[in-house]
Amino acid sequence: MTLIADNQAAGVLRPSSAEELRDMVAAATGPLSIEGAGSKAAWTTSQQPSQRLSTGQMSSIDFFYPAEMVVQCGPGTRLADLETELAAGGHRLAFDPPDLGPLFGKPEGQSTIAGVVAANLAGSRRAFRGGPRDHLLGVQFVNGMGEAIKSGGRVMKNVSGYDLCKLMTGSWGTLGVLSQVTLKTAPLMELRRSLVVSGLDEAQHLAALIAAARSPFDPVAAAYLPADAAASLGFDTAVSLIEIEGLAPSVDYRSEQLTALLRIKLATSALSVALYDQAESAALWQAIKSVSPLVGQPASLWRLKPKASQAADLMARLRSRFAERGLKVYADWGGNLVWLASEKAINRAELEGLPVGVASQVLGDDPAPFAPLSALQSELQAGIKRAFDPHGRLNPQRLTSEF
Amino acid sequence: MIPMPTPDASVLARRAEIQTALRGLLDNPKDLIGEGLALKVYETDGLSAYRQVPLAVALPRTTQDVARILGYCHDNGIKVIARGSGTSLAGGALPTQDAVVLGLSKMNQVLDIDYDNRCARVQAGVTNINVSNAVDRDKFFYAPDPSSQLACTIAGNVAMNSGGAHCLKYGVTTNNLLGLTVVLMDGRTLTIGSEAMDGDGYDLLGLFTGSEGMLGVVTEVLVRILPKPEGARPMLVGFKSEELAGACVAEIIGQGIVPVAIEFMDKPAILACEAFAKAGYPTDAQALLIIEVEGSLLEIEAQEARIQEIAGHYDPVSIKLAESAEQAEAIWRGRKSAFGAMGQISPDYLCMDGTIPTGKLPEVLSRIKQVGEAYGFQIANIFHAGDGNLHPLILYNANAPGEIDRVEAAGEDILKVCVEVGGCITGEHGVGIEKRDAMMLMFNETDLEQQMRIKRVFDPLWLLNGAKVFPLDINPADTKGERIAA
Ligand SMILES: Cc1cc2nc3c(=O)[nH]c(=O)nc-3n(C[C@H](O)[C@H](O)[C@H](O)COP(=O)(O)OP(=O)(O)OC[C@H]3O[C@@H](n4cnc5c(N)ncnc54)[C@H](O)[C@@H]3O)c2cc1C
Repeated sequence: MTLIADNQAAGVLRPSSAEELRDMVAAATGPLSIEGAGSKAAWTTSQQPSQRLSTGQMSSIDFFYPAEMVVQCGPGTRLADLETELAAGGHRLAFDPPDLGPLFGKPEGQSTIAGVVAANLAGSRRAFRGGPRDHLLGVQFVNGMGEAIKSGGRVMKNVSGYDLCKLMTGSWGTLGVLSQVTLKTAPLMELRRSLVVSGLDEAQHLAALIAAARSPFDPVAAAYLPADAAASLGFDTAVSLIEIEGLAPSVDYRSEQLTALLRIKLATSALSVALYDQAESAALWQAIKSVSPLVGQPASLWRLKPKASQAADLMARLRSRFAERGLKVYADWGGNLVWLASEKAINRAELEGLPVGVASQVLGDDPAPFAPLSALQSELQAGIKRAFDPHGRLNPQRLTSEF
Repeated sequence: MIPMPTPDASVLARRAEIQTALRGLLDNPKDLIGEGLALKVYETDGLSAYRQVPLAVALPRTTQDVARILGYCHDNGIKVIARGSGTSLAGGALPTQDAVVLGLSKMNQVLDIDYDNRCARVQAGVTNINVSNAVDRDKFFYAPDPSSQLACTIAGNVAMNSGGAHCLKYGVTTNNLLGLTVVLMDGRTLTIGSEAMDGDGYDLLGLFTGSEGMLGVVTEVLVRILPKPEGARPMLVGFKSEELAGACVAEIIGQGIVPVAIEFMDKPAILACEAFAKAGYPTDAQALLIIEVEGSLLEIEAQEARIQEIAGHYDPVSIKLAESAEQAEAIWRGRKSAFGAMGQISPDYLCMDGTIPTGKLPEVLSRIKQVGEAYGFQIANIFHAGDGNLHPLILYNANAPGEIDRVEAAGEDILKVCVEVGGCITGEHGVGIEKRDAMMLMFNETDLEQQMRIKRVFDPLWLLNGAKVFPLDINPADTKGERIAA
């Protein structure tokens, strides 16, 4: 079924205002399945049949003040529309969210901002510029009892009361239905440039990412693509990309310094560094953050979050453990994120003993897509769920089979 | 005056028994303070007009100590208040007479430094500056830098989600943490987060940060550390009016330049800080910006040139670049000692902490002036201008009868202005007892009930620092509705 057909399906609740949303949730007598554009509907545990409720209609940019670095919008605002608006004012979202729609077989450009927040989706800049959690200034939402709640606000610094923005981010709509989000924006820099590094073996590539992150030269993103993943981006060999940005003289200076640093740290004459300006690199970063190098029909796709220092070891061990599965991997977030796709399914139990950090299944049929929690964590998380949604109305079983 | 709930007489009556039991739970009996001056030290924090001598003070050395003490207090229905260095300006660490203070000062070790993964594991009682000091020789630092950083602890920073002058670029505490070890009120130990960013499940790390010591006691913190820039340099720009300074900030940010810090001072603040620190501030200016940029010398100069060009549009009275490390140090010393400087010109001051949309600065400053005039107080303003966090310092005399009530009323009026223009009541100091009632300016009861339901998940008996954040009228800490003057 295509997305368009999904959205026209009968019986989907589509509030057009925060008040309507509140009334609909308050009137609900059974489980609600909350969606923005439904672009990530496939990334979930099995769900009970439930009434669908879409905030896709609540699309509006209420204000955007570049000099104050803030934008406020309705939950159903398309990410693509928001980004266009911000760019027109010389700004962007610093966490550079990906549009994962195509990964789930949906068209591009459908993701809504509430979906990005609810799934806490950050792009390649996560390790250096933070994620949605770090840039969400304020929320309004409707909890499972149909109460309208607010937290945070529109100003940069705010410690008035508990930080419910953090709880809403990454909660997959299980605590509340967002009716408004306020985000910090960042000015677009004068110049962006990527160092495209090649001629290294895998361990050296990942060491290059760490060397950049440890340097004072302020990379905003750093990724490593083994030869097969790099091929899908048009490279004929494995590459690392390290992005920097700023005023032109500063970018010139730092690209020289970073290149020199890599030569010293890696001490190999095989090292080669090409400089790509934004025109050449934008599409590459777009692809990297959206997992395009692995889009296809993988039987499973895992998002692993190792320590950067263990990423090389992890990738090597994945290859040897799953040699027969048709594996493809690459690293983003300076080595803190490893994407793993396989033609034959890999399940969670099989990752046992590997330094995967937090492992989440993005595509596949493992019944528990999200990383398991300790007993105490689970107990507390269930308590938080009850504090927001005592009747278990909102997205039951979306996050865990326990609630 | 801000009231506190009446202490629980049955707990007060068991004072000796409770002290003996607690002493038995600690390896060194000296780690329990039960009387005298040593106990009185803990009666107040940075909001020093309020004082309550606690039942006892326990100084644990390990997470296990904390777990044993909390377990005992939980089983015996005894309230607990965690404390770092007691620099809270909101009364966050103010004890109650029926509570045990859990002081983290002996848990002050840096446990592990991991440069490849840009993080350090520290005990929660380590001071903010000592985290940076521990990694300084390897050219790293911990970014959030409250002015109190020589004294305040990471535990306090986590509890308050503290900020600092350099947060414009680097964010506040919550943006610079990776994990926590926390002991819950019932004595169970919880680990949250790890080197992996964004674990699955609800973001407890984000929830704990800024929860004002009401959800659990933090014993260890995994902080993000960052490589130090090659250099940094502040500049001073003096203006003929506050409006011009405010407009200059807007254009700098509007042009896509985000310096690491932009600090604003109005005339009374300039005069007081200059008299105190001799930093070379322009005393003929009505408003002053301290703008710090960083990078290599070449990058610093490139940014300074751009900023000077922009400042030129606003008719500055003076522009002064720091020409030496000493000058740079003096410029910051002036700013960071601003509160001390106020102490020199006035017996007492009340430091407010609202945040406003930066575009509203001129309007807000003139309304603050009106508030000062209406109550007859001088007010100096210091402002993290890039992010809108405003610190009006209301100068008063606590010994003059009635002044405390008037100064608090003036403070509340200022917070109302901040909320009216779209801001909030506290940007970095926290709610504590000071702004408990002002929470109603921002939130309704439904909002606050939602927050209180979260507190109950972690502390159903409401024993941990319960008399804070939520107005007493709706706060379970005040079940009987009988109050005393703190
Ligand atoms: C001169 C001066 C300048 C200041 N400048 C700034 C500034 O620039 N920016 C800023 O943000 N703040 C500033 N502050 C406020 C204050 O320093 C911060 O709030 C600081 O984080 C408090 O740390 P502390 O160790 O003193 O905590 P305390 O005052 O001891 O406690 C503060 C809160 O933390 C809780 N707490 C303490 N330890 C724990 C723990 N282990 N687990 C759970 N909760 C705990 C307490 O219960 C209390 O609620 C300033 C204060 C002063 C006096």
